[in-house]
Amino acid sequence: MFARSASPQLINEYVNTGKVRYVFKSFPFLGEESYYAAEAAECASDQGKFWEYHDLLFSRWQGEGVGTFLPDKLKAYAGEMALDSQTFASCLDTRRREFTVLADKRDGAQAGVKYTPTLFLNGQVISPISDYEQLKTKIEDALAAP
Amino acid sequence: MSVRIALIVAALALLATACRSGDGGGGGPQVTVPPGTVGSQHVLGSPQAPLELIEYADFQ
Repeated sequence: MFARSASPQLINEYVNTGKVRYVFKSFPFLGEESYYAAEAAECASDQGKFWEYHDLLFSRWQGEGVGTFLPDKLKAYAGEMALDSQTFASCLDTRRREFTVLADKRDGAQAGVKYTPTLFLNGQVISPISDYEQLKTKIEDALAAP
Repeated sequence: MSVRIALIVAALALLATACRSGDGGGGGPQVTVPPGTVGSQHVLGSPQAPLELIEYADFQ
C-alpha cells in the first residue's frame, strides 16, 4: 500500500523540499471499517492530529474486515495519542464527520477513482504504482517537463 | 405451496443481502451528500510546489 511504503520517502524527498504538494483524500469502499477509520481520522483532525492518526491507522493495519478499525479500537488508538477521549468518542459515535468522508468519496468518484490507492499527479492518474522508484520516475518526469 | 413460499423467502433474503453490499463504489451504505458539502483538506507541502500529488486511499 502506498501510504505504508512510499509515502515517507515521498515526503522526505519531494514534499519537504518544496517540489510536491501532497493531498490525502479518503475513499472508503471495503466495508464498514473503512468508513469508521476514515471518520475517525477526521475526528482526530478536529483535534489537530490528522497526520499522526493517519500514520497510526496505517501502522495498525492487519487486513480487511478483521476488526482492527472497529469503533472501540479506533477510540483506543485516540487514547494512545492523548487525544481528548470524550470529544473523539462523541465525534465518532455521532458520525459527526460522515459527510466530510462522503464528500471525499463523491469527489473521488467524480474524478474517476475506482480503486485505492489512486494517485493523481497534477490532475493525471499515475497509479497503479508498484513501488517508490516508479513513483519517483513519474515525479522526475513531471518536474523535467517544459 | 410451501416450496413456493420457501423460494420467495430465499429470493427476498438474497435481495436484502445484495442491497447491503452495494453502494456503486464497492461497499457500504449509499448516502447522499448534502449539496455544498466540502471534503477534507489534508495537505502537506508548499502551495508554491510545482507538482500536486493527490492520493485517494482506503485505510483498510
